[in-house]
This record gives sequence, structure tokens and C-alpha cells, in this order.
Amino acid sequence: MILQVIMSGIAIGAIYALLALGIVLIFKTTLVLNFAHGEVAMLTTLFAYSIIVSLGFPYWVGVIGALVLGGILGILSDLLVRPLLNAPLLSMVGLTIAMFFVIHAIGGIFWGYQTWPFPNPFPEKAVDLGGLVVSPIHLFIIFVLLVLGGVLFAVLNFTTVGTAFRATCQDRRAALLMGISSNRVFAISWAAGCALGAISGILIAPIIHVQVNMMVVILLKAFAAAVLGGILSLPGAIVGGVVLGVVENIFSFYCGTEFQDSIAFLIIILVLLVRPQGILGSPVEIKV
Amino acid sequence: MRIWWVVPMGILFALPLFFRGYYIYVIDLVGIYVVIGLGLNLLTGYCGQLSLGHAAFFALGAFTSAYLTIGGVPFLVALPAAGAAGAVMAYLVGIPVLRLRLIFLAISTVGLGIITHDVLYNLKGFTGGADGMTVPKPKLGPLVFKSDESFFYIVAVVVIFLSFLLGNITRTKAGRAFLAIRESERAATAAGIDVPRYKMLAFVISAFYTGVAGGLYAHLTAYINVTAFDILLSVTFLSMIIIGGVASIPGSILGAIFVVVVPEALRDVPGAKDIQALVYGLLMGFFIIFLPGGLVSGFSRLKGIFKK
Repeated sequence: MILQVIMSGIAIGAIYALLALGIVLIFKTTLVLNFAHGEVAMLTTLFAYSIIVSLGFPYWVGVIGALVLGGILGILSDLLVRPLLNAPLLSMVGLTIAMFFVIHAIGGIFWGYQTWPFPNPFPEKAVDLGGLVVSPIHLFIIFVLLVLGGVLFAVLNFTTVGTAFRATCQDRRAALLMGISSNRVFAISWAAGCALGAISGILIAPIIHVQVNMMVVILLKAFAAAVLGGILSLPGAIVGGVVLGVVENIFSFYCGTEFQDSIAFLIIILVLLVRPQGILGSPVEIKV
Repeated sequence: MRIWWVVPMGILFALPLFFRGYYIYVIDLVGIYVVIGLGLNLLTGYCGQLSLGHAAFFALGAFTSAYLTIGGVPFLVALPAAGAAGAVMAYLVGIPVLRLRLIFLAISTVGLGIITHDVLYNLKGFTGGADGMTVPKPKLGPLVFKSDESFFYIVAVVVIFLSFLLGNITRTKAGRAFLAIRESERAATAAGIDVPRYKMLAFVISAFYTGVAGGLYAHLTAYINVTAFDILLSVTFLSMIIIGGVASIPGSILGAIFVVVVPEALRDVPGAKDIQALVYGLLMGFFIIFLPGGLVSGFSRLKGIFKK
């Protein structure tokens, strides 16, 4: 029985992890916590919905459309945020919050507040894996998560872009001195991060249905997952998401679902107190 | 020079004669938000600690004052008690949480807000859950403040008192300590400032203010519902500071006016909720990018232009 709870927890956790990956990807280079990340995911998913359902294009066209929109939104965000990179934290937080409001409102204006079912590319029927029941879409999310993790690892460690990315994360000035353009790395981070958000949205949509408010609560959990795994660590985002999902599920299984959200944040606060760098993070030194 | 205060005071106290009904309700609401703005400005504007969970103190203050007045406690006691409730909670929460820096503090305050919201929501017998609860109108001895116009005077007195209090606090050693901490915690520590103690002081005072505002809110609207005290509310509080101006009392006032008036002004526009959010977000973004010091800095700049 407990194994089933854990399995479901991993399935939910994979969702948090997907979103968290996007958040961490952007944070690593730009040090901006994008509070609007969920809204970007929502908007790209609504866009995909329109392409697939309203316009009748095949599923994969919708996916591409969402990815493209995600990339565009990412680059726009980057341009918007760039003048404020040296501003106090309050400005940065405020700006992403403002972006949250604006993107949310755009979603509401163009799509309204109904809920629609999102096309599920997989059969609805749950699959039995040696006693454990999982639905195919959940399995696919876990699969995508692992694939993305592998792809990110490969890109970061074996390509020039990846090396530039890692260099900028480690020490932006040194990277600049080595001829690595921060601007370009930032733009790529933002675009990739938002594209990841788009993927998250499309994969989550069949489960929670498409509507303008779909991402708000999940995003907070994704932040919690990112912090849990280590805000500067990409594998940490995956680990943190899964751990959060599992712990949350175990808790709600034994204690009911009322305090589910609270437990997630209680965990976060405890982790921040005991080990602020998260599960996989290295100790963070804040400059004076 | 002091005698000049009579003029704006006079205008202030005459306001309910000219603004009635809906308008005075909005003004009352602005007053309540000013109190929150003052408190939050102390914590975030002066002391540099970011909190995205102040709705928790607001909620606590609201329910505390509600229950105390229902239980027969005089309003004059219930209101400070609401503030005290917030302050106590801040103290307890602050012991672990204030150790965290910057963005980690912000995230844990988000958690604080959500946990408080969840707990209060699930204590249905106590808070009425999704149904909310009604709150009696305040009484000062034989006077019952039934109308929004009369309530204005309570709000005005509280706002004036708390503004002066805040102004004085910022001029003390504590005020200078806050500023030092905002600029650099390490440097402040090196200068001999007891950083944890002052951070806690700012946190507790801001929670007190917010709790008092919550108490006022409960009695103004005569009905409170937990679902309204969510993270979005905390974000609204913070945006008040950003838009109005950090570390500035007039900034808190301007921010409060903006945050209350803009959504209300857009209320009748078709697609209201979205237009509100859109305009709000755009303006907020505009201020952050072009006027990081808030509306207050905009006014100083205008003044500077005219002086030439």
C-alpha cells in the first residue's frame, strides 16, 4: 500500500520537478526567481489548446506552437528584466510579480475563466505495473522528466552553449572576460526556461484541465521543490520535486488532505533552516 | 510652524462631510491599507527584509478583534489586542525564520502566509471557513460607530497616531539600525549593531501594525472570510510599498491610495477583473522600471525640475 502512495507521490512530484527545472534554469544564470513562470506555462498551454482544439491542428503542432510562444515570452521577459539585474531584491521580486499579473490578465482576457479538458495523447486507463497503478500520462511525465534531465546534462556538459551557461553561472565576470556574452546566455536561459514551462503546462493540462488559474498553486509548490532540492541545482530541482511529491502524498494519505499545502511549506521552512542550500546544493555564500 | 498642521488636519476631519457612502468606504479602506503600508515599509523599506506573508498577520488581527468584540471586550482594548496577536505570532515565527537571508526569507514568508491561511480555513468552527463570520460594529462607550462615515474617524485617529509613532521610531537608534541592516547586514554587525534583535523588532512592529489594520478591516466590513486573506493579498501589500516608495511615510500613503483606488476605479469596466489585473501589473512594472523609488521619488524629481 505504501508503495502505491509513493508511486503516486512520484507522479505528482514529477510535475513539480518539471516546473522547478524551468525556474532553476533561469535562476542559475540570471539570479531572478521568476514568479511568473507558472503563468507563462499557463499561457503557452492555452495557446496550444487553441491550436489543437479550436483550430483543429494535430497535437504536435500545438506543442511546437507552445514551445515557440514560450521561447518568445522568455526572451521578452529577459529584455524586460535586464535593466534591473543590479537592482535591490524588492524590485526584482516586484517585477516578476507584475509580470504575473499581466500574463494572468492576458490569459483571462483572451480565454476567459472556463475550464476545458486538454487532449490527452495517451489512453485514460490506468496501467498496472506489478501491483502499482499508474496512469499513462503520469508515466509519460516521469519519462519526459528523465529524458529532459539527461538532455540538459548532455547539453550542459558536452556542448559549447552548455559550457558558456555553466561558466556564467559560476562567475559571470570571469566568463565575460573569457569572451562569453552574458546577454546571450541570459537570453538562452530565459527562452529555455520558459520553453520548459511550456512543456510542463502541456503535460500537466490533461490531468488538471486547462484554465487560467491552473498554475497558481502548483507554481508555489514548484518553488518549494526547487528550494528543497537546492535552488541552484538542476538535478536538485528533479530530486526536490519528487521528494516533495512523495512526502506530500504520504502525509495526505495518513493525515488527510486538508493541510497538504501547509505541509509542503512547513517542509520548505524546515529545510531552509537546517540546510538552506537544499538537498543537492552546495553552501551558498552571499556577498556582503 | 506647528500651527500649520491645523489646516490639513481640519480638512482631514471634515472629509466625511463631503464624501459619503461608497466614497467614504473607499477612504476608510485606504486608511487601513496605509497602516499596513507603514508597518511593511518599516520591515521592507527601512530594514530591507522581504515579507510575502503579511496577510497572515492581517487575518490574525481581524479574527482576534472580531472574537474579542463579540465576547464583549471593549473596542479600545480589542484593537490593540489584534495588533498584539500579530506581534506575538511574528515573534514566534521570527525566531527561526529571520535567520534566513534575502530570497529564502521571502519564500518562508510565503510559506507562513499559506500555512496560516490553511490552518485558519480548516478551523471552520472558529473562523467559519468558506462561509466567513460576521463582526459587530465597534463601540466606544455609548457611541456605536455604525456608519462608514463615523468609522472614518476611528481610522483617521489610528492612522495619525501610528504614522507619528513610525516617524519617531525611524528617528531613533533603532531606525538607524534598520537602515544599516538594509544596506549591509555584515557591515551593521561589524559596527556593533545587534542585527537579529533589530530584525525581530522590525518584524514584530510591522506585524503589530498589520494586525491592527486587520482589526480595523474586520469592523469596517462587518464580515470577514478567511479565503480573502491569501498570498495575493500579501503580494498586494508588498506592491503598495513598491509603488508608493520604500522607507517613506508619504510613500506608504501614496501606495495605499494607489492599491485601493486603481482596482476600485476600474471596477465598472467590462472584463473588470482582468483589466484591473492588467493595468495594475503594467503600472507596477512601470514603476519598478522607471521609478524604483516609488511615487514619492517621482514627486521629488518633479520638485527638482521645478526648482530649476
